[in-house]
Amino acid sequence: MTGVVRRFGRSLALDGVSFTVPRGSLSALVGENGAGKTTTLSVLAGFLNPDAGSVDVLGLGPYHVSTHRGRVGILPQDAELPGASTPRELLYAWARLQGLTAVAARRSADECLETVLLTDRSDHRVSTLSHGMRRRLTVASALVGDPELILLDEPTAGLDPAQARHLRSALAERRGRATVLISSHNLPELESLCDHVVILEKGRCLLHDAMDVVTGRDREVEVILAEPFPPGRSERVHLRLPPGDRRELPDATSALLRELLAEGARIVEVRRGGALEERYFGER
Amino acid sequence: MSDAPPGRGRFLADIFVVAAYELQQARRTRLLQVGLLLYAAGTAAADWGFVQALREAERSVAQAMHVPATEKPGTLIAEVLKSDDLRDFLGGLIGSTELFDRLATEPVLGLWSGAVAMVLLPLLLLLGTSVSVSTEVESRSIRFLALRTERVPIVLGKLLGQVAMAGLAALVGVLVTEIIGQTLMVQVPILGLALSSTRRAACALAYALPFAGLGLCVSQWIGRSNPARVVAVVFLLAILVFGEWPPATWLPDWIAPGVEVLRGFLPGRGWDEAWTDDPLAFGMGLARYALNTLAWVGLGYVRFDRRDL
Repeated sequence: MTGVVRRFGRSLALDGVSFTVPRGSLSALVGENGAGKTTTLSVLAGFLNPDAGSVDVLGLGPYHVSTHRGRVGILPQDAELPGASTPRELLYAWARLQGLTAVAARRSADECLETVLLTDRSDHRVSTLSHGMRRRLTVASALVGDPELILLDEPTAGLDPAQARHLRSALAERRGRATVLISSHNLPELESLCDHVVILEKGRCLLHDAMDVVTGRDREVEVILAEPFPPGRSERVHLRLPPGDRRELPDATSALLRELLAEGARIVEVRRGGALEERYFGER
Repeated sequence: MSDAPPGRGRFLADIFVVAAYELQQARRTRLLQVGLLLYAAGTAAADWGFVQALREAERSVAQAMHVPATEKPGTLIAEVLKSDDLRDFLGGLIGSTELFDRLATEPVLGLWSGAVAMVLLPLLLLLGTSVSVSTEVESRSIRFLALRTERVPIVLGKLLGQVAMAGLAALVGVLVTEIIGQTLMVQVPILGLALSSTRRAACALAYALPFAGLGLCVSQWIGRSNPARVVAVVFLLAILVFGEWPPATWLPDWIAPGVEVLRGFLPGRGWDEAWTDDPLAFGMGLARYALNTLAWVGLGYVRFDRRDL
Protein backbone atom coordinates (compact mmCIF):
# COMPACT_ATOMS: atom_id res chain seq x y z
CA MET A 1 0.00 0.00 0.00
CA THR A 2 1.17 3.51 -0.78
CA GLY A 3 0.27 6.65 1.14
CA VAL A 4 -2.95 5.18 2.46
CA VAL A 5 -5.06 7.53 4.55
CA ARG A 6 -8.17 6.45 6.38
CA ARG A 7 -10.26 8.55 8.72
CA PHE A 8 -13.10 7.56 11.05
CA GLY A 9 -14.92 10.82 11.61
CA ARG A 10 -12.30 13.19 12.94
CA SER A 11 -9.93 10.46 13.96
CA LEU A 12 -7.09 9.60 11.61
CA ALA A 13 -6.57 5.84 11.68
CA LEU A 14 -4.05 5.60 8.85
CA ASP A 15 -1.90 8.59 8.05
CA GLY A 16 -0.17 7.90 4.76
CA VAL A 17 0.82 4.30 5.41
CA SER A 18 3.14 2.81 2.81
CA PHE A 19 4.71 -0.63 2.86
CA THR A 20 5.15 -3.72 0.79
CA VAL A 21 5.65 -7.30 1.85
CA PRO A 22 7.49 -9.87 -0.26
CA ARG A 23 5.37 -12.48 -2.00
CA GLY A 24 5.54 -15.85 -0.27
CA SER A 25 6.82 -14.39 2.98
CA LEU A 26 5.43 -14.52 6.49
CA SER A 27 5.24 -10.91 7.59
CA ALA A 28 4.53 -9.38 10.96
CA LEU A 29 2.36 -6.31 11.43
CA VAL A 30 3.35 -4.76 14.72
CA GLY A 31 2.10 -1.76 16.65
CA GLU A 32 0.45 -0.68 19.85
CA ASN A 33 -3.35 -0.60 20.25
CA GLY A 34 -4.80 1.99 17.89
CA ALA A 35 -1.71 2.01 15.69
CA GLY A 36 -3.83 1.08 12.67
CA LYS A 37 -3.13 -2.64 12.30
CA THR A 38 -6.76 -3.78 12.05
CA THR A 39 -7.64 -0.86 9.78
CA THR A 40 -4.70 -1.79 7.56
CA LEU A 41 -5.91 -5.38 7.25
CA SER A 42 -9.48 -4.20 6.62
CA VAL A 43 -8.31 -1.89 3.84
CA LEU A 44 -6.26 -4.71 2.30
CA ALA A 45 -9.32 -7.00 2.36
CA GLY A 46 -11.58 -4.35 0.84
CA PHE A 47 -13.81 -4.00 3.91
CA LEU A 48 -12.80 -0.35 4.22
CA ASN A 49 -12.11 2.05 1.39
CA PRO A 50 -9.10 4.30 1.86
CA ASP A 51 -9.71 8.04 1.80
CA ALA A 52 -6.46 8.54 -0.09
CA GLY A 53 -3.54 6.50 -1.33
CA SER A 54 -3.44 3.29 -3.29
CA VAL A 55 -3.52 -0.38 -2.46
CA ASP A 56 -2.12 -3.18 -4.54
CA VAL A 57 -2.99 -6.69 -3.41
CA LEU A 58 -1.05 -9.48 -5.13
CA GLY A 59 -0.21 -7.16 -8.00
CA LEU A 60 -3.86 -6.98 -9.05
CA GLY A 61 -4.77 -3.56 -7.71
CA PRO A 62 -7.01 -2.88 -4.72
CA TYR A 63 -9.01 -5.81 -3.39
CA HIS A 64 -12.04 -6.55 -5.49
CA VAL A 65 -13.94 -9.79 -5.48
CA SER A 66 -13.94 -10.02 -9.26
CA THR A 67 -10.14 -10.08 -9.39
CA HIS A 68 -9.22 -11.48 -5.98
CA ARG A 69 -11.89 -14.05 -5.30
CA GLY A 70 -10.39 -17.07 -3.60
CA ARG A 71 -6.94 -15.49 -3.55
CA VAL A 72 -7.24 -13.74 -0.20
CA GLY A 73 -8.23 -15.14 3.18
CA ILE A 74 -8.66 -13.05 6.30
CA LEU A 75 -9.15 -13.62 9.98
CA PRO A 76 -11.07 -10.48 10.95
CA GLN A 77 -10.54 -9.41 14.53
CA ASP A 78 -14.10 -8.60 15.51
CA ALA A 79 -16.44 -10.41 13.14
CA GLU A 80 -18.87 -12.73 14.88
CA LEU A 81 -19.32 -16.20 13.51
CA PRO A 82 -22.91 -17.23 12.80
CA GLY A 83 -23.61 -19.19 15.96
CA ALA A 84 -26.31 -21.47 14.64
CA SER A 85 -24.23 -23.19 11.97
CA THR A 86 -21.59 -25.86 12.37
CA PRO A 87 -17.93 -25.26 11.48
CA ARG A 88 -18.12 -27.67 8.58
CA GLU A 89 -21.23 -26.01 7.11
CA LEU A 90 -19.70 -22.54 7.36
CA LEU A 91 -16.37 -23.47 5.83
CA TYR A 92 -18.13 -25.38 3.07
CA ALA A 93 -20.40 -22.42 2.22
CA TRP A 94 -17.48 -19.99 2.23
CA ALA A 95 -15.36 -22.29 0.10
CA ARG A 96 -18.22 -22.57 -2.38
CA LEU A 97 -18.43 -18.78 -2.53
CA GLN A 98 -14.72 -18.69 -3.23
CA GLY A 99 -15.53 -20.62 -6.36
CA LEU A 100 -14.59 -24.14 -5.31
CA THR A 101 -16.63 -27.07 -6.58
CA ALA A 102 -18.73 -28.95 -4.04
CA VAL A 103 -16.16 -31.76 -3.76
CA ALA A 104 -13.19 -29.39 -3.48
CA ALA A 105 -15.04 -27.21 -0.98
CA ARG A 106 -15.82 -30.21 1.21
CA ARG A 107 -12.21 -31.39 1.07
CA SER A 108 -10.80 -27.95 1.80
CA ALA A 109 -13.20 -27.46 4.73
CA ASP A 110 -12.13 -30.79 6.23
CA GLU A 111 -8.43 -30.03 5.74
CA CYS A 112 -8.75 -26.65 7.42
CA LEU A 113 -10.66 -28.13 10.33
CA GLU A 114 -7.84 -30.60 10.74
CA THR A 115 -5.25 -27.81 10.57
CA VAL A 116 -6.91 -25.95 13.43
CA LEU A 117 -7.61 -29.15 15.40
CA LEU A 118 -11.37 -28.84 15.17
CA THR A 119 -12.24 -32.05 13.34
CA ASP A 120 -13.90 -33.55 16.39
CA ARG A 121 -16.16 -30.47 16.76
CA SER A 122 -16.86 -29.96 13.08
CA ASP A 123 -20.54 -30.88 13.39
CA HIS A 124 -21.23 -29.03 16.62
CA ARG A 125 -22.95 -25.68 16.51
CA VAL A 126 -20.59 -22.70 16.63
CA SER A 127 -22.52 -21.32 19.60
CA THR A 128 -21.47 -24.38 21.64
CA LEU A 129 -17.75 -23.88 20.93
CA SER A 130 -15.39 -22.24 23.39
CA HIS A 131 -13.77 -18.88 22.66
CA GLY A 132 -10.53 -20.57 21.62
CA MET A 133 -12.35 -22.97 19.33
CA ARG A 134 -14.19 -20.13 17.64
CA ARG A 135 -10.89 -18.36 17.21
CA ARG A 136 -9.49 -21.44 15.53
CA LEU A 137 -12.53 -21.63 13.30
CA THR A 138 -12.00 -18.06 12.12
CA VAL A 139 -8.38 -18.96 11.42
CA ALA A 140 -9.68 -21.90 9.37
CA SER A 141 -11.95 -19.49 7.49
CA ALA A 142 -8.84 -17.57 6.45
CA LEU A 143 -7.11 -20.73 5.25
CA VAL A 144 -10.00 -22.34 3.41
CA GLY A 145 -9.45 -22.66 -0.32
CA ASP A 146 -5.67 -22.27 0.07
CA PRO A 147 -5.52 -18.50 -0.66
CA GLU A 148 -2.38 -16.76 -1.93
CA LEU A 149 -2.61 -13.98 0.65
CA ILE A 150 -3.63 -14.68 4.24
CA LEU A 151 -4.34 -11.77 6.58
CA LEU A 152 -4.49 -12.73 10.24
CA ASP A 153 -5.48 -10.36 13.02
CA GLU A 154 -4.27 -11.77 16.34
CA PRO A 155 -4.46 -15.41 15.23
CA THR A 156 -3.14 -16.95 18.44
CA ALA A 157 -5.00 -14.69 20.88
CA GLY A 158 -7.01 -16.90 23.21
CA LEU A 159 -5.31 -20.13 22.12
CA ASP A 160 -3.57 -22.39 24.59
CA PRO A 161 0.19 -22.88 24.08
CA ALA A 162 -0.16 -26.22 22.31
CA GLN A 163 -2.75 -24.89 19.88
CA ALA A 164 -0.75 -21.73 19.29
CA ARG A 165 2.32 -23.81 18.52
CA HIS A 166 0.35 -26.03 16.17
CA LEU A 167 -1.01 -22.99 14.36
CA ARG A 168 2.45 -21.43 14.06
CA SER A 169 3.70 -24.60 12.50
CA ALA A 170 0.74 -24.71 10.08
CA LEU A 171 1.49 -21.13 9.06
CA ALA A 172 5.20 -21.81 8.70
CA GLU A 173 4.34 -24.63 6.30
CA ARG A 174 2.72 -22.06 4.03
CA ARG A 175 5.96 -20.12 3.63
CA GLY A 176 6.70 -19.80 -0.07
CA ARG A 177 3.21 -20.99 -1.03
CA ALA A 178 1.28 -18.07 0.39
CA THR A 179 1.98 -14.56 1.60
CA VAL A 180 0.93 -14.33 5.23
CA LEU A 181 0.54 -11.02 7.07
CA ILE A 182 0.08 -11.47 10.81
CA SER A 183 -0.96 -8.70 13.15
CA SER A 184 -0.09 -9.49 16.75
CA HIS A 185 1.25 -8.12 20.00
CA ASN A 186 3.20 -11.30 20.63
CA LEU A 187 6.60 -10.11 19.42
CA PRO A 188 8.66 -13.20 20.32
CA GLU A 189 6.15 -15.31 18.42
CA LEU A 190 6.34 -13.05 15.38
CA GLU A 191 10.12 -12.95 15.56
CA SER A 192 10.37 -16.71 15.48
CA LEU A 193 7.78 -17.10 12.74
CA CYS A 194 8.10 -14.19 10.34
CA ASP A 195 10.73 -13.15 7.88
CA HIS A 196 9.49 -9.62 7.33
CA VAL A 197 8.17 -6.98 9.69
CA VAL A 198 6.08 -3.83 9.38
CA ILE A 199 5.95 -1.52 12.40
CA LEU A 200 3.05 0.92 12.67
CA GLU A 201 2.63 3.72 15.14
CA LYS A 202 -0.24 6.17 15.36
CA GLY A 203 -1.34 5.39 11.83
CA ARG A 204 2.10 5.74 10.31
CA CYS A 205 4.53 3.12 9.12
CA LEU A 206 7.75 3.46 11.13
CA LEU A 207 9.61 0.83 9.18
CA HIS A 208 9.15 -2.23 7.04
CA ASP A 209 12.01 -4.52 6.31
CA ALA A 210 13.26 -8.08 6.52
CA MET A 211 13.15 -9.51 10.03
CA ASP A 212 16.90 -10.26 9.81
CA VAL A 213 17.63 -6.63 9.04
CA VAL A 214 15.30 -5.27 11.73
CA THR A 215 16.58 -7.60 14.43
CA GLY A 216 20.14 -7.48 13.13
CA ARG A 217 20.27 -11.23 12.61
CA ASP A 218 22.21 -10.69 9.40
CA ARG A 219 24.97 -8.61 10.96
CA GLU A 220 24.91 -8.92 14.75
CA VAL A 221 25.82 -11.56 17.29
CA GLU A 222 25.59 -11.43 21.04
CA VAL A 223 27.75 -13.79 23.06
CA ILE A 224 26.69 -14.44 26.64
CA LEU A 225 29.41 -15.51 29.02
CA ALA A 226 29.25 -17.45 32.26
CA GLU A 227 30.81 -14.57 34.13
CA PRO A 228 31.96 -11.02 33.28
CA PHE A 229 35.03 -11.08 31.07
CA PRO A 230 37.49 -9.59 31.55
CA PRO A 231 36.55 -9.55 35.24
CA GLY A 232 34.61 -6.42 36.10
CA ARG A 233 33.36 -5.92 32.53
CA SER A 234 30.12 -7.12 30.97
CA GLU A 235 29.13 -10.72 30.62
CA ARG A 236 27.74 -9.92 27.14
CA VAL A 237 29.94 -9.40 24.12
CA HIS A 238 28.40 -7.81 21.03
CA LEU A 239 29.60 -8.25 17.49
CA ARG A 240 28.09 -5.91 14.92
CA LEU A 241 29.32 -5.88 11.34
CA PRO A 242 29.33 -2.28 10.19
CA PRO A 243 27.98 -1.41 6.74
CA GLY A 244 30.66 -2.07 4.18
CA ASP A 245 32.31 -4.84 6.20
CA ARG A 246 32.75 -7.62 3.69
CA ARG A 247 33.18 -10.41 6.21
CA GLU A 248 30.37 -12.92 6.52
CA LEU A 249 28.68 -13.11 9.89
CA PRO A 250 29.56 -16.82 10.54
CA ASP A 251 33.23 -16.12 9.85
CA ALA A 252 33.30 -13.08 12.07
CA THR A 253 31.44 -14.96 14.81
CA SER A 254 33.83 -17.91 14.65
CA ALA A 255 36.76 -15.58 14.91
CA LEU A 256 35.27 -13.83 17.92
CA LEU A 257 34.51 -17.12 19.66
CA ARG A 258 38.00 -18.44 19.03
CA GLU A 259 39.43 -15.26 20.49
CA LEU A 260 37.22 -15.43 23.59
CA LEU A 261 37.97 -19.12 24.18
CA ALA A 262 41.66 -18.52 23.73
CA GLU A 263 41.50 -15.87 26.42
CA GLY A 264 39.75 -18.26 28.78
CA ALA A 265 36.20 -16.95 28.62
CA ARG A 266 33.43 -19.44 29.31
CA ILE A 267 30.61 -19.18 26.76
CA VAL A 268 27.01 -19.93 27.73
CA GLU A 269 25.03 -18.81 24.68
CA VAL A 270 25.43 -17.24 21.28
CA ARG A 271 22.49 -15.21 19.93
CA ARG A 272 22.03 -13.87 16.42
CA GLY A 273 20.80 -10.29 16.40
CA GLY A 274 18.68 -8.63 19.00
CA ALA A 275 15.11 -9.38 20.01
CA LEU A 276 12.35 -7.84 17.89
CA GLU A 277 10.93 -6.48 21.10
CA GLU A 278 14.09 -4.48 21.81
CA ARG A 279 14.19 -3.17 18.26
CA TYR A 280 10.50 -2.32 18.36
CA PHE A 281 10.92 -0.22 21.48
CA GLY A 282 14.12 1.20 20.08
CA GLU A 283 12.32 2.42 16.97
CA ARG A 284 9.53 4.14 18.88
CA MET B 1 -8.08 -21.05 -5.30
CA SER B 2 -11.16 -20.74 -7.43
CA ASP B 3 -12.30 -23.29 -9.97
CA ALA B 4 -15.91 -22.22 -10.59
CA PRO B 5 -17.20 -21.03 -13.96
CA PRO B 6 -16.69 -17.31 -14.52
CA GLY B 7 -19.26 -14.66 -15.39
CA ARG B 8 -22.99 -15.09 -15.18
CA GLY B 9 -22.80 -18.71 -14.04
CA ARG B 10 -20.77 -17.73 -11.02
CA PHE B 11 -23.04 -14.77 -10.29
CA LEU B 12 -26.09 -17.04 -10.25
CA ALA B 13 -24.24 -19.74 -8.33
CA ASP B 14 -23.31 -17.18 -5.67
CA ILE B 15 -26.93 -16.07 -5.35
CA PHE B 16 -27.99 -19.66 -4.77
CA VAL B 17 -25.19 -20.31 -2.27
CA VAL B 18 -26.14 -17.19 -0.29
CA ALA B 19 -29.82 -18.15 -0.45
CA ALA B 20 -29.04 -21.64 0.82
CA TYR B 21 -26.88 -20.09 3.56
CA GLU B 22 -29.79 -17.82 4.51
CA LEU B 23 -32.20 -20.74 4.66
CA GLN B 24 -29.75 -22.80 6.67
CA GLN B 25 -29.26 -19.98 9.17
CA ALA B 26 -33.01 -19.54 9.53
CA ARG B 27 -33.51 -23.26 10.05
CA ARG B 28 -30.69 -23.51 12.57
CA THR B 29 -31.86 -20.51 14.56
CA ARG B 30 -35.42 -21.95 14.52
CA LEU B 31 -36.57 -18.70 12.90
CA LEU B 32 -37.88 -20.67 9.95
CA GLN B 33 -39.79 -23.14 12.11
CA VAL B 34 -41.27 -20.41 14.28
CA GLY B 35 -42.23 -18.37 11.22
CA LEU B 36 -43.93 -21.37 9.62
CA LEU B 37 -45.73 -22.19 12.84
CA LEU B 38 -47.00 -18.63 13.25
CA TYR B 39 -48.03 -18.52 9.63
CA ALA B 40 -49.90 -21.81 9.99
CA ALA B 41 -51.60 -20.53 13.15
CA GLY B 42 -52.57 -17.25 11.45
CA THR B 43 -53.97 -19.04 8.43
CA ALA B 44 -55.81 -21.57 10.58
CA ALA B 45 -57.37 -18.83 12.71
CA ALA B 46 -58.45 -16.80 9.67
CA ASP B 47 -59.82 -19.88 7.84
CA TRP B 48 -61.61 -21.09 10.95
CA GLY B 49 -63.25 -17.66 11.43
CA PHE B 50 -64.31 -17.65 7.78
CA VAL B 51 -65.81 -21.13 8.07
CA GLN B 52 -67.73 -20.06 11.17
CA ALA B 53 -69.08 -17.05 9.26
CA LEU B 54 -70.08 -19.35 6.40
CA ARG B 55 -71.84 -21.67 8.83
CA GLU B 56 -73.85 -18.79 10.25
CA ALA B 57 -74.67 -17.56 6.76
CA GLU B 58 -75.76 -21.06 5.71
CA ARG B 59 -77.96 -21.38 8.76
CA SER B 60 -79.68 -18.10 7.90
CA VAL B 61 -80.16 -19.22 4.31
CA ALA B 62 -81.46 -22.63 5.44
CA GLN B 63 -83.89 -20.94 7.80
CA ALA B 64 -85.12 -18.69 5.02
CA MET B 65 -85.48 -21.67 2.67
CA HIS B 66 -87.13 -23.76 5.37
CA VAL B 67 -84.60 -26.54 4.92
CA PRO B 68 -82.57 -28.14 7.69
CA ALA B 69 -79.05 -26.70 8.11
CA THR B 70 -76.14 -29.12 8.14
CA GLU B 71 -73.66 -29.22 11.03
CA LYS B 72 -70.78 -28.28 8.73
CA PRO B 73 -71.08 -25.56 6.08
CA GLY B 74 -70.69 -26.35 2.40
CA THR B 75 -73.99 -27.71 1.18
CA LEU B 76 -75.60 -24.33 0.61
CA ILE B 77 -72.54 -22.33 -0.48
CA ALA B 78 -74.07 -21.51 -3.85
CA GLU B 79 -77.15 -20.08 -2.13
CA VAL B 80 -75.06 -18.22 0.43
CA LEU B 81 -72.99 -16.60 -2.28
CA LYS B 82 -76.12 -15.15 -3.79
CA SER B 83 -76.43 -13.05 -0.65
CA ASP B 84 -75.49 -9.49 -1.48
CA ASP B 85 -73.68 -9.00 1.83
CA LEU B 86 -71.23 -11.87 1.36
CA ARG B 87 -70.89 -11.19 -2.37
CA ASP B 88 -70.11 -7.54 -1.70
CA PHE B 89 -67.67 -8.45 1.06
CA LEU B 90 -65.77 -11.00 -1.02
CA GLY B 91 -66.04 -8.85 -4.14
CA GLY B 92 -64.58 -5.93 -2.24
CA LEU B 93 -61.82 -8.19 -1.02
CA ILE B 94 -60.69 -9.16 -4.50
CA GLY B 95 -61.40 -5.96 -6.37
CA SER B 96 -64.93 -6.18 -7.79
CA THR B 97 -68.12 -8.21 -7.48
CA GLU B 98 -68.03 -8.91 -11.23
CA LEU B 99 -64.59 -10.45 -10.88
CA PHE B 100 -65.83 -12.38 -7.86
CA ASP B 101 -68.70 -13.75 -9.92
CA ARG B 102 -66.22 -14.94 -12.53
CA LEU B 103 -63.94 -16.50 -9.91
CA ALA B 104 -66.82 -18.12 -8.05
CA THR B 105 -66.08 -21.40 -9.82
CA GLU B 106 -63.16 -21.71 -7.39
CA PRO B 107 -63.89 -22.95 -3.86
CA VAL B 108 -64.70 -19.90 -1.78
CA LEU B 109 -62.30 -21.02 0.95
CA GLY B 110 -59.51 -21.01 -1.65
CA LEU B 111 -60.27 -17.38 -2.50
CA TRP B 112 -60.40 -16.50 1.18
CA SER B 113 -57.05 -18.19 1.85
CA GLY B 114 -55.57 -16.15 -1.01
CA ALA B 115 -56.72 -12.93 0.64
CA VAL B 116 -55.27 -14.09 3.95
CA ALA B 117 -51.97 -14.90 2.25
CA MET B 118 -51.93 -11.43 0.72
CA VAL B 119 -51.98 -9.98 4.21
CA LEU B 120 -49.66 -12.44 5.97
CA LEU B 121 -46.96 -12.96 3.33
CA PRO B 122 -46.07 -9.25 2.98
CA LEU B 123 -45.71 -9.00 6.76
CA LEU B 124 -43.59 -12.12 6.92
CA LEU B 125 -41.34 -10.95 4.09
CA LEU B 126 -41.02 -7.41 5.39
CA LEU B 127 -40.03 -8.54 8.87
CA GLY B 128 -37.65 -11.19 7.55
CA THR B 129 -35.84 -9.08 5.00
CA SER B 130 -35.58 -6.00 7.21
CA VAL B 131 -33.01 -7.78 9.38
CA SER B 132 -31.38 -10.07 6.84
CA VAL B 133 -28.53 -7.72 5.91
CA SER B 134 -28.52 -5.47 8.98
CA THR B 135 -27.97 -8.36 11.40
CA GLU B 136 -24.87 -9.46 9.53
CA VAL B 137 -23.56 -5.91 9.20
CA GLU B 138 -24.10 -5.38 12.92
CA SER B 139 -22.20 -8.53 13.89
CA ARG B 140 -19.74 -8.00 11.03
CA SER B 141 -20.24 -11.59 9.96
CA ILE B 142 -21.04 -10.05 6.58
CA ARG B 143 -17.26 -9.83 6.16
CA PHE B 144 -17.07 -13.58 5.69
CA LEU B 145 -19.41 -13.25 2.71
CA ALA B 146 -18.19 -9.95 1.33
CA LEU B 147 -14.63 -11.25 1.05
CA ARG B 148 -15.85 -14.04 -1.18
CA THR B 149 -18.58 -12.64 -3.35
CA GLU B 150 -19.82 -9.33 -4.73
CA ARG B 151 -22.36 -7.43 -2.71
CA VAL B 152 -25.08 -7.75 -5.36
CA PRO B 153 -25.27 -11.57 -5.06
CA ILE B 154 -25.29 -11.20 -1.29
CA VAL B 155 -28.38 -9.00 -1.44
CA LEU B 156 -30.11 -11.00 -4.16
CA GLY B 157 -29.24 -14.28 -2.43
CA LYS B 158 -30.78 -13.00 0.79
CA LEU B 159 -33.85 -11.88 -1.15
CA LEU B 160 -34.13 -15.32 -2.75
CA GLY B 161 -33.66 -17.05 0.60
CA GLN B 162 -36.39 -14.95 2.22
CA VAL B 163 -38.74 -15.48 -0.72
CA ALA B 164 -38.08 -19.22 -0.51
CA MET B 165 -39.02 -19.13 3.17
CA ALA B 166 -42.18 -17.19 2.36
CA GLY B 167 -42.90 -19.75 -0.36
CA LEU B 168 -42.64 -22.51 2.22
CA ALA B 169 -44.98 -20.57 4.48
CA ALA B 170 -47.43 -20.17 1.61
CA LEU B 171 -47.36 -23.95 1.05
CA VAL B 172 -47.99 -24.50 4.74
CA GLY B 173 -50.95 -22.12 4.40
CA VAL B 174 -52.27 -24.17 1.49
CA LEU B 175 -51.98 -27.32 3.57
CA VAL B 176 -53.73 -25.73 6.54
CA THR B 177 -56.53 -24.45 4.31
CA GLU B 178 -56.96 -27.93 2.82
CA ILE B 179 -57.16 -29.49 6.28
CA ILE B 180 -59.68 -26.90 7.46
CA GLY B 181 -61.71 -27.25 4.28
CA GLN B 182 -61.86 -31.02 4.53
CA THR B 183 -62.51 -31.21 8.26
CA LEU B 184 -64.77 -28.22 8.96
CA MET B 185 -66.71 -28.09 5.69
CA VAL B 186 -68.53 -30.53 3.46
CA GLN B 187 -68.64 -30.92 -0.30
CA VAL B 188 -65.30 -29.21 -0.77
CA PRO B 189 -63.39 -30.77 -3.68
CA ILE B 190 -59.93 -31.81 -2.46
CA LEU B 191 -58.12 -31.08 -5.68
CA GLY B 192 -60.20 -28.01 -6.47
CA LEU B 193 -59.42 -26.40 -3.14
CA ALA B 194 -55.75 -27.36 -3.37
CA LEU B 195 -55.42 -25.87 -6.85
CA SER B 196 -57.32 -22.73 -5.93
CA SER B 197 -55.43 -22.02 -2.73
CA THR B 198 -52.07 -22.85 -4.36
CA ARG B 199 -52.78 -20.50 -7.24
CA ARG B 200 -53.90 -17.78 -4.87
CA ALA B 201 -50.88 -18.31 -2.64
CA ALA B 202 -48.57 -17.97 -5.66
CA CYS B 203 -50.29 -14.72 -6.63
CA ALA B 204 -50.04 -13.51 -3.04
CA LEU B 205 -46.32 -14.31 -3.01
CA ALA B 206 -45.82 -12.26 -6.16
CA TYR B 207 -47.84 -9.44 -4.63
CA ALA B 208 -45.70 -9.58 -1.49
CA LEU B 209 -42.36 -9.25 -3.32
CA PRO B 210 -42.18 -5.44 -3.16
CA PHE B 211 -42.50 -5.70 0.62
CA ALA B 212 -39.38 -7.88 0.57
CA GLY B 213 -37.74 -5.16 -1.53
CA LEU B 214 -38.72 -2.52 1.02
CA GLY B 215 -37.40 -4.65 3.88
CA LEU B 216 -34.10 -5.21 2.13
CA CYS B 217 -33.85 -1.51 1.34
CA VAL B 218 -34.21 -0.65 5.02
CA SER B 219 -31.86 -3.46 6.00
CA GLN B 220 -29.14 -2.15 3.70
CA TRP B 221 -29.45 1.42 4.91
CA ILE B 222 -29.62 0.66 8.62
CA GLY B 223 -26.76 -1.47 9.82
CA ARG B 224 -28.42 -2.56 13.05
CA SER B 225 -31.10 -5.17 13.23
CA ASN B 226 -33.58 -3.86 15.81
CA PRO B 227 -33.75 -0.30 14.47
CA ALA B 228 -34.07 -1.75 10.96
CA ARG B 229 -37.07 -3.84 11.98
CA VAL B 230 -38.73 -0.84 13.66
CA VAL B 231 -38.10 1.42 10.67
CA ALA B 232 -39.53 -1.22 8.32
CA VAL B 233 -42.74 -1.41 10.35
CA VAL B 234 -42.96 2.40 10.50
CA PHE B 235 -42.54 2.48 6.71
CA LEU B 236 -45.31 -0.08 6.38
CA LEU B 237 -47.66 2.01 8.48
CA ALA B 238 -46.70 5.13 6.55
CA ILE B 239 -47.43 3.34 3.30
CA LEU B 240 -50.82 2.23 4.57
CA VAL B 241 -51.66 5.84 5.43
CA PHE B 242 -50.00 7.82 2.67
CA GLY B 243 -50.47 5.19 -0.03
CA GLU B 244 -54.03 6.39 -0.45
CA TRP B 245 -54.10 9.71 1.36
CA PRO B 246 -54.40 12.45 0.34
CA PRO B 247 -56.44 11.31 -2.69
CA ALA B 248 -55.17 12.41 -6.08
CA THR B 249 -58.24 14.62 -6.52
CA TRP B 250 -57.10 16.70 -3.57
CA LEU B 251 -53.69 17.37 -5.06
CA PRO B 252 -52.86 20.22 -7.44
CA ASP B 253 -53.00 19.14 -11.07
CA TRP B 254 -49.31 19.72 -11.64
CA ILE B 255 -48.27 17.39 -8.84
CA ALA B 256 -50.97 14.72 -8.88
CA PRO B 257 -49.60 12.65 -11.84
CA GLY B 258 -46.10 12.55 -10.34
CA VAL B 259 -47.44 11.54 -6.94
CA GLU B 260 -49.45 8.76 -8.56
CA VAL B 261 -46.39 7.46 -10.39
CA LEU B 262 -44.45 7.42 -7.12
CA ARG B 263 -47.33 5.75 -5.36
CA GLY B 264 -47.22 3.07 -8.03
CA PHE B 265 -43.88 1.99 -6.57
CA LEU B 266 -45.25 1.59 -3.08
CA PRO B 267 -45.54 -1.98 -1.84
CA GLY B 268 -49.17 -2.93 -1.59
CA ARG B 269 -50.05 -1.42 -4.94
CA GLY B 270 -51.46 -3.86 -7.48
CA TRP B 271 -53.83 -5.75 -5.18
CA ASP B 272 -56.38 -6.06 -8.02
CA GLU B 273 -53.78 -7.39 -10.44
CA ALA B 274 -53.11 -10.32 -8.14
CA TRP B 275 -56.75 -11.40 -8.50
CA THR B 276 -57.43 -10.68 -12.13
CA ASP B 277 -58.38 -13.50 -14.50
CA ASP B 278 -57.00 -11.53 -17.46
CA PRO B 279 -53.56 -12.99 -18.30
CA LEU B 280 -52.32 -9.72 -19.77
CA ALA B 281 -53.31 -7.72 -16.71
CA PHE B 282 -51.77 -10.40 -14.51
CA GLY B 283 -48.54 -10.26 -16.53
CA MET B 284 -48.50 -6.48 -16.11
CA GLY B 285 -49.03 -6.99 -12.41
CA LEU B 286 -46.10 -9.40 -12.20
CA ALA B 287 -43.91 -6.92 -14.06
CA ARG B 288 -44.97 -4.19 -11.63
CA TYR B 289 -44.17 -6.36 -8.61
CA ALA B 290 -40.78 -7.31 -10.02
CA LEU B 291 -39.93 -3.74 -10.96
CA ASN B 292 -41.03 -2.39 -7.59
CA THR B 293 -39.02 -5.05 -5.78
CA LEU B 294 -35.86 -4.33 -7.75
CA ALA B 295 -36.35 -0.58 -7.37
CA TRP B 296 -36.49 -0.88 -3.58
CA VAL B 297 -33.57 -3.31 -3.44
CA GLY B 298 -31.60 -0.97 -5.70
CA LEU B 299 -32.40 2.02 -3.51
CA GLY B 300 -30.97 0.13 -0.55
CA TYR B 301 -27.98 -1.01 -2.54
CA VAL B 302 -26.93 2.60 -3.16
CA ARG B 303 -26.01 2.65 0.54
CA PHE B 304 -24.85 -0.93 0.96
CA ASP B 305 -22.42 -0.70 -1.94
CA ARG B 306 -20.56 2.15 -0.24
CA ARG B 307 -20.84 0.85 3.27
CA ASP B 308 -17.72 0.06 5.26
CA LEU B 309 -17.90 -3.46 6.54
